[in-house]
Amino acid sequence: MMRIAAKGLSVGHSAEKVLLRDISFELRRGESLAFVGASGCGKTTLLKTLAGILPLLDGEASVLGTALPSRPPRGKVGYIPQNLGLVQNATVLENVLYGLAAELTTSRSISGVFPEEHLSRARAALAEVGLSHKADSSPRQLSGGEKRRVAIARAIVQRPEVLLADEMFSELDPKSAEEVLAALKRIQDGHGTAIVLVEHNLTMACGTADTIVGLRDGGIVARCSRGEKPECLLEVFYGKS
Amino acid sequence: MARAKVIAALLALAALASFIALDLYHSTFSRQGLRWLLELSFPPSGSVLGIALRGLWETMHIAYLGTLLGLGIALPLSLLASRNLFPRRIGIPVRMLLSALRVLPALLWAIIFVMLFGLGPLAGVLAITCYTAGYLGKLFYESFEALPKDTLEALESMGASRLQLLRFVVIPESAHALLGHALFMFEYNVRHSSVIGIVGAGGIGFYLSAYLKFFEYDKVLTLLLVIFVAVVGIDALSAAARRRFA
Repeated sequence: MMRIAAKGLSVGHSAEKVLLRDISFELRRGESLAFVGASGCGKTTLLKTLAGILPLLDGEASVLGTALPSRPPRGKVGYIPQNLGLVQNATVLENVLYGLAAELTTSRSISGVFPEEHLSRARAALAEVGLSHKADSSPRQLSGGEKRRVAIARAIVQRPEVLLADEMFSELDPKSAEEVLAALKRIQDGHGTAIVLVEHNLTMACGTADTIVGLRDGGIVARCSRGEKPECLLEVFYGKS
Repeated sequence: MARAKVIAALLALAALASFIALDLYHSTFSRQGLRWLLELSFPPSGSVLGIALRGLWETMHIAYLGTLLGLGIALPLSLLASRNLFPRRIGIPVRMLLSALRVLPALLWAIIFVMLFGLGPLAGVLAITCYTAGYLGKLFYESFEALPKDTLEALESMGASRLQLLRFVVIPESAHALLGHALFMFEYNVRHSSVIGIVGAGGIGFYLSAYLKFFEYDKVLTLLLVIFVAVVGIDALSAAARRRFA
């Protein structure tokens, strides 16, 4: 089954403010796709639309067989926003557990006590991103790369079939970027999770995704696969030479 | 720069208009009045110290209970009023209710409750409760609306319900701000609970009003000094608590 299929998609904040038009792509199990483009071109809006946060303005899109704007089954889509959205007044382990909140009963949601099985899964997700030793730390005590890996752990603890991640490599030093990249690769190869990335760092996008799609002037202007020379994508940032 | 000068000139003109409208230039300072006030007030009377402390104790209870009940009402209402948590069709009527509670100062609420429940501290507690609910409600929903959207969106897109968002994001992330507002409100309510006694709603203000009526300003001064010491002490304790927890 196709994990994501989009045809003639238009996204934006309202019908008067359309940022991207005629976006079409397909994504299968274990594939990854990165959207690259300059700031403000609509990358984040596109991701939020796929996550069901913003409404679809035009066209058709389905995530795990569910047509937007309906939401796919709970726990099947992981979303990592640009600012990661970690709860600062909670520990790293608690943040990962919150990724399982949708599975809690009402009484457990009120008491805030997670079952032992959830704790095991959260610890396993932290181990997968190499942060077991930070379980009791506050997100405030972590480096930028570690925070991103916590966000990844929170997104994958539900074993999602699709992961949507916004600017995972911004402001990271090369070592941290390498660690985040390795964590994403493990999820993609190990669990067959389909990953959609939004990036303005062309190098990282080319090193991470199977397909790279360039966005500019409200639409797709370039598309290339991993291994191909990405010169055509330079147009996305610098215009036609 | 020229615009700033025009605005400053307009503000000065408006102040002059207010001064004329209130006929303030006809008021004169009475030296005789000052002498009379000082003669009647000094030295402060120690005979009412027991009454003052008893009144202050009651005032503190009124402020504490009123703040606690007001907080209990403000919390759920402010959640419903937050635009980032609930739709506008729910938020707007709740905001109107909070505004209605806030529009009357505690003193006027006290007059209403004295008429409904008679003289005594119950009217005071209810008056403080109403005002606190309105005031804290506004402060709380502003805190909730200032929460980062990303955190809510991340969990929401992963299937978390509204209850789960409140429990795991909204309350923990705004807890420090809420506690700070509640402590400030308690501080504020101690001062106001001293005043509402003037209309018969219990506390030290009740005695203050009685001595004022009979021009026993030496006793009034004792009561004011007790209130002053208590307010300064509570301000210091509350500031220390805010530094520690908020």
